[in-house]
Amino acid sequence: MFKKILRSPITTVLLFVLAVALLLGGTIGGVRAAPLTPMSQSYRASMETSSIAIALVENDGEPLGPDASILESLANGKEPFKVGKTYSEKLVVRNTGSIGTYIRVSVYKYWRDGNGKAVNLDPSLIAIKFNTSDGWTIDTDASTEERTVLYYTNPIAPESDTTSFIDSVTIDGKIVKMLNDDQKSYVYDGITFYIDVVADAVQDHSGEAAMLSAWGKTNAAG
Amino acid sequence: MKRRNIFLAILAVALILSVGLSSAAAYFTTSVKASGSVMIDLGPHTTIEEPDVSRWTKHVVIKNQDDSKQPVYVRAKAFAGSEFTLEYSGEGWTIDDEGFYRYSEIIAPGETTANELLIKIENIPEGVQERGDFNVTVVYEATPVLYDEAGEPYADWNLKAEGGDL
Repeated sequence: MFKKILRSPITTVLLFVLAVALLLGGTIGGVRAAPLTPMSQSYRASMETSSIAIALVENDGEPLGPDASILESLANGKEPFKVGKTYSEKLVVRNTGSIGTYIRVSVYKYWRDGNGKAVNLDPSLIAIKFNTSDGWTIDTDASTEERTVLYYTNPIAPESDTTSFIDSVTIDGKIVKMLNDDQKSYVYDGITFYIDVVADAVQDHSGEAAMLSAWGKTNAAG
Repeated sequence: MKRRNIFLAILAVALILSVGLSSAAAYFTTSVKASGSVMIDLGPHTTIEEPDVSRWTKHVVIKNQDDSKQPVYVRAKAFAGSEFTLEYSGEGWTIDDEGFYRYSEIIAPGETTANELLIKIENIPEGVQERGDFNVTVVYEATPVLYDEAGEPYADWNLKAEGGDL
């Protein structure tokens, strides 16, 4: 009997009509219910994503851009650069991001003439006095006559600075007695000395693993 | 079936590797650079001038040429026959251990010694004045101004030229 009712075309039609009615009713109900739904108070949630950023700061000035010029106080046009004089030079790294960082700095010094880098001239005549205290340590394994690699042993919190990793710059006075073979011209006359600084940072969270991943060693270098 | 298993195996390995890669690249790093440079200007060029010889007195002036790139210290000394006596004078000129008279001021490019070194020839034997057959030669030296660590200038008269290449 039940099977007979189910197989009846009337039943099919009835079920179809019922389905349509339920669909329409649901939609209408939803529409009708909308005005009755009380508006909840709107909430705002600001989400800040973690960011890592650093900047070099020279002689207590403003943070420098990513490819900035330094040493401008040494040749400011007011007086000629003095060979032999020790010029005070302070460079720190500032954490301008939102997470703590570990810092590594590489300082390169070299001479350039009109043909490019003068590899036959002595970079040791560009004397840079590094600050090997106050948290800085020199990686002697990675350093050469031309390059000095320093690690800052403490993590730097956002908006904080390292101590200065450079104290001063001096061009050795010996260059005034270095003459070319003609005995009339100076070897270093018209030559330009360069100091390049590259500062790297990694996150301080899982810092040791991060340093190993990025630099191949930790800041406990010696 | 066999091919499907191989495909699934490769897929599984790739997934495992990709998990490892993502953890290695997850560290935050950054970097900044800065660069500075200064050109070195060296090369003093000096000349000696004797604008006036009068009353058996040489008036010595030393000039640091206009094309010179460096301030200098200067010193001078005269040579004459032993029968002559030379008397030196001039404000700012003082004798050193080697018998040279050093000028105390720095001579900048384009400038001259502001005060002359006067070298008076005395004890001229009779007859020499009339014949005029004697020589008094003045030699001078210039050395680039050096600076100590504090930036104070000084002269090193023992500077000797040497090569500069590595």
